[in-house]
Amino acid sequence: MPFQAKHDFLVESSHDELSRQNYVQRLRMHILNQIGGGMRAVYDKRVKPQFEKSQGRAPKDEYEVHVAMLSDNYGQVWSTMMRSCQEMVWDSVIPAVERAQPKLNERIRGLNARYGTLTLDPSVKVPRYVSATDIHLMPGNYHTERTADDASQGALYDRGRFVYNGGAAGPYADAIPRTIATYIRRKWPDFKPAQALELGCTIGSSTIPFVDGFPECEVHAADVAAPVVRYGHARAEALGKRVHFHQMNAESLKFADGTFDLVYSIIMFHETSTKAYRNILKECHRVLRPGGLMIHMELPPVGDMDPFEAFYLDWDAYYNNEPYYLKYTHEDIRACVTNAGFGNDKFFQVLIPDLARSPQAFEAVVGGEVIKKTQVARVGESAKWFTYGAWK
Amino acid sequence: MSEPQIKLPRQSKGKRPYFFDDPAIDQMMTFLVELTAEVSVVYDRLDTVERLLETKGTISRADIEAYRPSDAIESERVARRDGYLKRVFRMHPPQATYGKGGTTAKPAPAKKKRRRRRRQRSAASG
Ligand SMILES: C[S@@+](CC[C@H](N)C(=O)[O-])C[C@H]1O[C@@H](n2cnc3c(N)ncnc32)[C@H](O)[C@@H]1O
Repeated sequence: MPFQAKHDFLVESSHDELSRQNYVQRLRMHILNQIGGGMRAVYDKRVKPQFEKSQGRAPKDEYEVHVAMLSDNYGQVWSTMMRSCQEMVWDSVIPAVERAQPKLNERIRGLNARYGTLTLDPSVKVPRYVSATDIHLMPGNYHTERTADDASQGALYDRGRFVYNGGAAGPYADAIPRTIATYIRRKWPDFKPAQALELGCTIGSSTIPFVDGFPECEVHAADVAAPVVRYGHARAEALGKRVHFHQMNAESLKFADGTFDLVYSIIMFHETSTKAYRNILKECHRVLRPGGLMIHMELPPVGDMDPFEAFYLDWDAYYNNEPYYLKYTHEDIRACVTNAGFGNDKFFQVLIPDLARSPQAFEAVVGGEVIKKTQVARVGESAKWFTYGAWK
Repeated sequence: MSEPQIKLPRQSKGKRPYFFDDPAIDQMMTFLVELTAEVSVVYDRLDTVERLLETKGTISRADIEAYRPSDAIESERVARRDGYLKRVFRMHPPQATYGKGGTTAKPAPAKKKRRRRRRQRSAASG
């Protein structure tokens, strides 16, 4: 569905801006599904046979597939369109954010919170892996502040991410966290968290489904970037949801040992460094109570993927400003989790079908069915979420 | 006190990759893809005008600016955009290539080809 749920802080776009944003949504879906959908056939019918003819063997890994596919005209057309479209996603939203900025910041500053809280910490240093790159080509990334109390990067993310998703993640762009929260509730009905913490919450769209899913639970959400938690706080208030936002580095949380029953993240790690990944897992272990649950939804490891799929999924690492993605998708996640202090027998991983898009398959997985194939793709192409974690 | 208006950057950090041997083709593709967006915007605006005129005798620019499609109308627009995208970005089907030219048939002798083209041209003008 192409419609984003409105709230008081969503930026207002003009008639033509809205039209452009709505077009870019469909353009992206077209490039992904229609044009991208042909990539496999191009590989099988043209690129691979040509490679075999000249080399006398099939491409041995994703890197060889990468070079071969990007030497092919189809791969070039698809790639250049992917890149242009990604630039257009933000470009279609920036004018509206720019216009809204002064008023928006003023309104957020004057906000009278009725539900949750916002705790900022100016001493938090934005790590280099966040400050050095504009991830997904979003100019300014999550953290840039241009005036005092600037929240505009949050506003840009809110509308731009929706355009990017093409609405595939629902009107609140929260299909994944909603699926994971429901999975936890259904899979472990006796698990009743009193305190939960989300890491890398951005604008809190991945926090609210946990507020809804665990109404008795006090839900905290941390992000290292001030603009996004400022905006997220305003957004949650506008939606009437009780979230406690913190500007905090997940590598060094300010919470005492054993504070939480549940610690989770949704697509965060692939945007952090190798070292940060390990530090954050250790922090998850530290702030969890014994018997608590750590759970993360992320890109699937490419380890067991065929070279074409790995190339296709890793394309973003090279051309969509995702410099840490590649290292992350090649991690041995079980080893990292156990090195952080979790028992090897407490580790789990599961591919969870999207709750809204494939409710029956979701039920089957809650019931114990295992989806073997880890063919997971970008948002809009697939609806199975790779999730892993451990009990403390 | 009201905050000053600031300009937001339009470009992301980092080098812009290109994919064709000649980066001019990437540049042209950007122009082309951007242009399809503008055509779609014009189409939506026309659609807005048509729909407003169906209910009102005269309309102003302000009416157009204020117009927001209902979910049902937006769904029609989505279907129209998808059809438009299919027509404009019509990819050539993948096939085994003969050579750089991308044809599966052996190229015909130049003479024949030229004659055929001339015949086509006269057919088109006649
Ligand atoms: C892809 S976004 C997460 C998206 C969000 N969970 C959602 O589902 O909408 C990654 C977020 O992690 C944050 N982040 C990266 N490193 C962090 C760290 N060390 N501590 C806290 N947040 C971090 C970034 O600022 C960014 O907001």
